[in-house]
Amino acid sequence: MQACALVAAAACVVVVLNRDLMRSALSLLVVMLALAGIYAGAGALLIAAVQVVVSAGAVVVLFMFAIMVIDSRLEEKSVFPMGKSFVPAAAGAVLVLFASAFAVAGFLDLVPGRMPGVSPVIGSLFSGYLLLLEASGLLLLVSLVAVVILARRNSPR
Amino acid sequence: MTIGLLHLLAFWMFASGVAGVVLRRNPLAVFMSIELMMNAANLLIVLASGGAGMESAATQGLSAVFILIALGAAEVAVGLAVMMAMFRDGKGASLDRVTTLRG
Repeated sequence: MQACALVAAAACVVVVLNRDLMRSALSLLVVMLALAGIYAGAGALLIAAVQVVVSAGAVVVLFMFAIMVIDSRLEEKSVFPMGKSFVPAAAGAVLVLFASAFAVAGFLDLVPGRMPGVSPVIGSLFSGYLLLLEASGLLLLVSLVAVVILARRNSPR
Repeated sequence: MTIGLLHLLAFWMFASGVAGVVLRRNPLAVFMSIELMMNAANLLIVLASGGAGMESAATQGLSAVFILIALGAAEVAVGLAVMMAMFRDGKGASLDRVTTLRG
């Protein structure tokens, strides 16, 4: 957990100070994954999983998508030229494979339905906070519609 | 409640987020800094709820973080769509050029 904290602290600085937006986004990914590790270490397994899926997965990928669209409009330069970056890319892919293998092995040890700390949170979300949960679902739907309207090419202003 | 390394990390993340919002000019970099600040707040809530116990305070804190992560996803989607519109109008490269609401 301490190692995750140090990694996150270092990656925060890179997010803020790096001039290359794509590297900032990749550092943001590192921050999110380290935070997920901290959550898992603190026993909040559900939050760790949601952090990986939503923050590290959806949010950072959205950021990268936006950076690629915007960058390619500003100037036609590829951020990662394929020839130079093949070895780091392959090494990163192998690292990710190993990390996921370890994560899967760790989760396989857990008995289904007995994941510690998950069912109380889910229970409270679907009982006491049901209205809030539904409201956040509605918020996601509304934001989806707003994004479609905003991102249309000839949106009426 | 003692101040641990993780509390310091939350403070550090929030401080670097504030620094990014103040120092950077690129809207995407500013948005990533805002994301850092939001994650610092989430981390602090998880720490304050004391991990995942059966106690109701811990459960409530983790439920709040669950909702907050969904909220952050919605925020990012709408914010990035606004930024795409800004870049399409040709004034998105620097926040100094976005002056429609200036009085």
